[in-house]
Amino acid sequence: MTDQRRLRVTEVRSLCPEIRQITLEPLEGTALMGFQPGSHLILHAGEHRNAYSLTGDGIMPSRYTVSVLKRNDDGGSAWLHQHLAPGSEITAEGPVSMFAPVHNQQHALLVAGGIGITPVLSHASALAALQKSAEVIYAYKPHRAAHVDQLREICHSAGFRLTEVTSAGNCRKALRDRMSDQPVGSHAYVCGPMSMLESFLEIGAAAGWPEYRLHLERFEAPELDPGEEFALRVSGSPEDLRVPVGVSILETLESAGYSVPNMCRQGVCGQCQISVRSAGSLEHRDYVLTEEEKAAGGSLMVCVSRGTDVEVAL
Amino acid sequence: MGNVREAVDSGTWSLPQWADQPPDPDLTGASFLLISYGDSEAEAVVQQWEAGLRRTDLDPPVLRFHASAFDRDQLADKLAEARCGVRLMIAGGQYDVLQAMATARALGLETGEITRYATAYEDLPLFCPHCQTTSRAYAEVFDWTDCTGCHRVLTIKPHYSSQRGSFLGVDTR
Ligand SMILES: Cc1cc2nc3c(=O)[nH]c(=O)nc-3n(C[C@H](O)[C@H](O)[C@H](O)COP(=O)(O)OP(=O)(O)OC[C@H]3O[C@@H](n4cnc5c(N)ncnc54)[C@H](O)[C@@H]3O)c2cc1C
Ligand code: FES
Repeated sequence: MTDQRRLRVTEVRSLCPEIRQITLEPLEGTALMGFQPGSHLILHAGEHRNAYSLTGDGIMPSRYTVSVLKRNDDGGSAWLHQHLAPGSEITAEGPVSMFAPVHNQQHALLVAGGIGITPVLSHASALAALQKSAEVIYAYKPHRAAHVDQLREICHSAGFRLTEVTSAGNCRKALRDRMSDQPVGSHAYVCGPMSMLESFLEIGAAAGWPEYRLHLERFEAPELDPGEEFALRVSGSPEDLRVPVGVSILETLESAGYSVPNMCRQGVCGQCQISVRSAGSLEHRDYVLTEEEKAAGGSLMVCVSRGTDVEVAL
Repeated sequence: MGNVREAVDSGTWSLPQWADQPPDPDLTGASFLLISYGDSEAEAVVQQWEAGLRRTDLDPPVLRFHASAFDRDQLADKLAEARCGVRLMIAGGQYDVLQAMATARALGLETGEITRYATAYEDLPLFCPHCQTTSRAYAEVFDWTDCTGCHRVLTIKPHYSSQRGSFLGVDTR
């Protein structure tokens, strides 16, 4: 778990139906840490701990802003919508950087779909502040265009270009058109629904972008198949555990009384990484470890990944 | 050969690796920029690359050009016209190819997007740490040669910097 701190809510603003921008400031006498563009905070929302991308440029911030889409009636996002008002205090962890810009990029292509605008806005603001060039594609539903005015303003900067699209078909068209027309040395970043991430990867590969130039931020992960039952052992413990079909290693460890840091429970946040001592085989199903790390087999994201005869060190 | 042994033992050798045969084009690229420097042998290699690309089902856009020697601004102009997704393929003498490679990297390409082939090894790029000049040296590692910038006599170290695209020279007198 990263360092926790209390922050004060100074403003709650409705950006469009279901999306609220929350402004957080430090309590008296404390300062806020700067952050890499694309970083997120982990907010304690009732019994939930959820990640929310910081939308600012991260350069000496005096306040943090996040924008939260309300997804359902009893999750953490609904809690934030219901409970936060100016003057409230909230517990936050971070900032955590997992979607940072590549330091030597010559130019950035930033692609956002829906609420995925949040980290993209952060990247765009930081690039504008540093007088670098970027191109943005923003796909949204007309009644849910969060931050669009702010983005248009930023994209008036020299070296910027904005394409707005309001349908999935036009989004694919914009991706095909713009991904084949970026300068040499560009890096491309995307955050949005899963279908958009898939289009981005497919169209990027067809346009000749090597994998190391394509960067994805996932707010959610696809449903996984339940897998097979397998044996699990914790180093130093005599007891052999079984991980049943449809149950994760994380849940198995929790049921056995172990506490393991975690947050997203779907293989995107990187909090539940555990060292592997030995294994018959490993099936990595997360979006955190690199292909090299997966091949090396030294660790596992226990909320999603499986294997056979796995021994972990806690 | 004392200094050779020393360098080997301390693991400070770093030399560019060259293929014996022209490598195949990387077909994950969406377009190709093919450059030959110097003689007709280099031009032939590049023509062979282009023919290979034309034979594929992809038939990607290919831009080919020949120059007698490496020229930084010329390469920068070509790369400014190219788009991300391009693969750069360079053939020529060692000096020209290594300098072109380092320039392309400074302008944003990664080594994974560059294919290179040396048709001759009689010259190499030599960096002088005293005056910061990079000379075209007709010499080999461990030879003595003059720096064209400050005219110091330099020993060519077996130390190649891929970032600079040059070997390191030192004044050991
Ligand atoms: C890096 C990152 C950045 C994000 N940035 C934003 C942003 O800027 N704006 C935004 O609106 N959203 C953002 N999200 C999504 C956000 O974190 C929440 O997932 C989202 O608000 C959904 O919340 P909820 O209220 O529907 O779900 P909640 O019920 O609060 O749970 C969130 C998710 O965690 C899982 N989960 C939680 N607890 C358990 C448990 N005990 N057992 C099993 N599963 C559990 C659920 O599968 C659920 O999908 C981001 C996510 C990530 C990973
Ligand atoms: S809890 Fe987020 S990756 Fe496992």
